[in-house]
Amino acid sequence: MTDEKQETLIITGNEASAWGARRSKAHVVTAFPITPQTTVMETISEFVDSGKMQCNFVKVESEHSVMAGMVGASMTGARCFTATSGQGLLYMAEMVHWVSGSRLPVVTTIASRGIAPPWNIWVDYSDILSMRDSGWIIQFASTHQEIFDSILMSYKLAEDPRVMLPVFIAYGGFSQSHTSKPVVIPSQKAVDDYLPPVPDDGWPHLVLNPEKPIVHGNLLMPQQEYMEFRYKMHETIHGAKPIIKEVIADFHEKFGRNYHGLIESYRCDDAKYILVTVGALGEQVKDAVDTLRSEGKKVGSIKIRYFRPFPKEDLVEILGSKNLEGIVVVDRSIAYGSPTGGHISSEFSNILSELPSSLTYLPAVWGLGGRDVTVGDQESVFNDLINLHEENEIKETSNSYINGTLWVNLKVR
Amino acid sequence: MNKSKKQDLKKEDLPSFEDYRDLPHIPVSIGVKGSMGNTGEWRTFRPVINLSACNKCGFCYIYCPEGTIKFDKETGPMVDYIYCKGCGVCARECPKDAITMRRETEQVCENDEDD
Amino acid sequence: MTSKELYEITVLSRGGQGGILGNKLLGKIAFVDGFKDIIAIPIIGAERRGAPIRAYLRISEQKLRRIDAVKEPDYYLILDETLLSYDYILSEIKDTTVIINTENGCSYKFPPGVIAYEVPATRIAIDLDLEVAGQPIVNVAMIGAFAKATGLIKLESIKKVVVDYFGAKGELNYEASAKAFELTREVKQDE
Repeated sequence: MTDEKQETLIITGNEASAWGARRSKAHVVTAFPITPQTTVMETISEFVDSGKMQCNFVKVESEHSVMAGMVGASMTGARCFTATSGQGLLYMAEMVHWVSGSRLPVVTTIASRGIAPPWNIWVDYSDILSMRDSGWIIQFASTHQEIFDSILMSYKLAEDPRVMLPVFIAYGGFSQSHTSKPVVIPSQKAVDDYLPPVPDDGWPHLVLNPEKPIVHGNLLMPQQEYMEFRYKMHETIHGAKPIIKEVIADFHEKFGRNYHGLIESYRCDDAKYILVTVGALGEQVKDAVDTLRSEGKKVGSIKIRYFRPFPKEDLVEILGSKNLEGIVVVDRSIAYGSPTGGHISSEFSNILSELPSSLTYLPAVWGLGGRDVTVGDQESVFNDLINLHEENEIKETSNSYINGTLWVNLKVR
Repeated sequence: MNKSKKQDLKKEDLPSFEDYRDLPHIPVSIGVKGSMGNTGEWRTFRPVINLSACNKCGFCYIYCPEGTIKFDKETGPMVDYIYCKGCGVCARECPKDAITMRRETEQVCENDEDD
Repeated sequence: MTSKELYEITVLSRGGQGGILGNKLLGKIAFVDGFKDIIAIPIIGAERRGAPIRAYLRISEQKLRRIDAVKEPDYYLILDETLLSYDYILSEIKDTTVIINTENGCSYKFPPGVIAYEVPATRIAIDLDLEVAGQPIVNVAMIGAFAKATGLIKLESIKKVVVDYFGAKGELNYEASAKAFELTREVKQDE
């Protein structure tokens, strides 16, 4: 593989992530191993060792230091990249807020895994969704190609002076991190043409310069502008929605791959029933949609690509269709004690007031801790939704409907 | 309280924001002396150094949490009363008990007052 | 070659035999051979040397969206005959094609409807000194057997990919696959 021409490689999701950092010319990468992210850092260290990637590859002693390193490095105006998973993300949680609160455009990929105890290293988005309110833009990548492409797009987004916020790109541990698929890696020049270098004189709001010392991270008293700074971040992350669309459109034009927007809908135009989910299962569910369509069932699916900012307007636009009779929102994460049990389905309840009241709304949870979710399982969720809408109850299913939420393949006697 | 000293920084010199949209992305302070104002006004007790008892060990200079004690090997320590908050750490740490904390309301007339 | 659009393969091995890498390489080779999309799905745990390991592969003429486990594979690639001593493995094999590494004839019976191919891949690896840490590596030899049994991939594509992947050891691996291609034979199941 050379840097001069575009090539299609058969690589894992983690290798696609490492290639994203390489093609983005990240200046600083801080590294600490954690399954299933480790091969991202292993691949980058091989790139650096063989001279194919010029960056400061800093091995640190914990995930807390990984993200602390990102804060310090990014403040100098460097393009910064790292990756983590599960417990590692939880351990760096404090510094995660320091990055967003300092408005630093760091990009971090998350190979999501179940949270311990009991130990689990397989796909489960409970880790990334625990960072729901951290001020980071949170994106889910549903294909290997999307992992790579999203890193390029995320730097463009994060470094936009109108945004200046960090981005998480989450994908499934093992289900995406260790599976291999063809990924188109554009030439370095093509990426350079799309993603310009960082400004010479640092970020617009902050740059470390020994000649001009500043104090950062100051204490703000209650009567000072702490509240205003917080509101400003909230407004900015919402305001990033049109900028995300700009970045996607620009990428489509340059590379020919279209990521649609904050959400991607599939066969929703005349759909009576729509399944909403995130990640690779949002891609796989298209197979279930096709099968059910061939049986005459009018179904469609929506993949939420960006969870922060929450794509409320885009969802309302599609789900406001008068054909629609039922929606099922499926999480691959658990939000203990929340209204529905899932992060996204709980949040989704907020937009129901803007949709026709005749709609049947079914929250669901599937595939926790990497439990396999087959296309057949996905069809069963559609069938349960149709059942619930037409009969007002769910019959003859392998899933469990408990307190208003559908638990897919939950073992219940 | 001694108000005769000219203030280094005026209230109107500090930035004030009426609208969140005028704020920068993050708050930073430029490293200037007295960016928190004339904190000497906060004192109820002031440290008074008895230089004749002082052995010039420099402990007060090292322990002062606000960096308001200057130290010279020849002449010994000197308190900057514009910024000294009167916390008393220097008096507590002085191995020679050469620093005493005096009420601000007390008329200090000894010749060891140096400001 | 048939006109099927999607082929599903399950690779069974023991940790350390190269089953997961072999699965990925087979996917690369299929892609080089012109299939439009592939996904190699290793089922990974921790500290698994010697344990039964499985990996799935889909090779397709269409874009693949699925990431779920393969349940009814068209082909089983079995890197170690002793894996069939597990009832749960032997019992899942039906209405499929099995390519099995065995030297003196497979001692396990498959139900009617199973087409079986045998190849002495361990013998080939030992004869060629193809070992890692004292363990004969049979994965690329098994890919040669797959090429012979299925006709889905070409020997020259194997060569291209393994030489590219293994560098100096690539030629030796290719030699193993070519030898396996030559020695792979279908065995009639007793009805």
